[in-house]
Amino acid sequence: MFKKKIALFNQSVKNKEEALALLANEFIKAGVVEDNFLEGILQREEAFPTGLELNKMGVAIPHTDSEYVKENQLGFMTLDKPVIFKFMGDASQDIEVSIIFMLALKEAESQIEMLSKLMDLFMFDEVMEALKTVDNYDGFDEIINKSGLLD
Amino acid sequence: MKRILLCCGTGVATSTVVRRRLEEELIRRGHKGKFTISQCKAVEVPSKSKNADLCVSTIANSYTCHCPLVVATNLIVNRNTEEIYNQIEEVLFSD
Repeated sequence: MFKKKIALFNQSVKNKEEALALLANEFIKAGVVEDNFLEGILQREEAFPTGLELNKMGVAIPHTDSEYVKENQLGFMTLDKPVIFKFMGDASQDIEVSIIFMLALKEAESQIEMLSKLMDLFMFDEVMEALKTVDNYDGFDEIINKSGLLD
Repeated sequence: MKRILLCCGTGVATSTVVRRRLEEELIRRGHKGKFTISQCKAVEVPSKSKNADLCVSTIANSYTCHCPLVVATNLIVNRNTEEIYNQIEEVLFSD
């Protein structure tokens, strides 16, 4: 699911829109999504926010309808300073997000194992802490591999 | 047979993860064979909730829901899950 190796580390961005644009553009460059993928991501984030509060940090899992997607792919991004996303369960709550997992899903049914494992990761504070500080793809790959997330 | 409608923004990602967790937990609580789960997008809730006993949503749902609604975002990150499962169990199986 990370086969295009889309991962950006310690990015400096002003707001969530800038973060989403940076990451979505990597998907477009890799050819795994349609050219209007970013619009889909931004619209969905506005209508149905994807911020989640973990024990020690906030994460966001931006994604959108499958019509914008050509191939299943995950992307990862860390921010040097958190930006504000809205909480998925209540859009009046702000979440300070420092890790973003962007999901491009053609159909989720075949990816349920991966999605479940990804979201299981969120429970492990030490894994999330390691992901927050990693600054290169090999290090990221090692953390993710240990989790059994990669297929 | 109780009909559970699971909804999220796009009807695929988070509702799929929550579906599996919810199925496992309801079976663990002894409700095997007593429920069915279908998934939908948030925009489909106004129509589909008419034929459901409970809607479990991973998002803050601003649409009209015609059956009891439980917001279960925390099932995604496995926080305060007992409380959410208890609510769901009470709506569906308290009689």
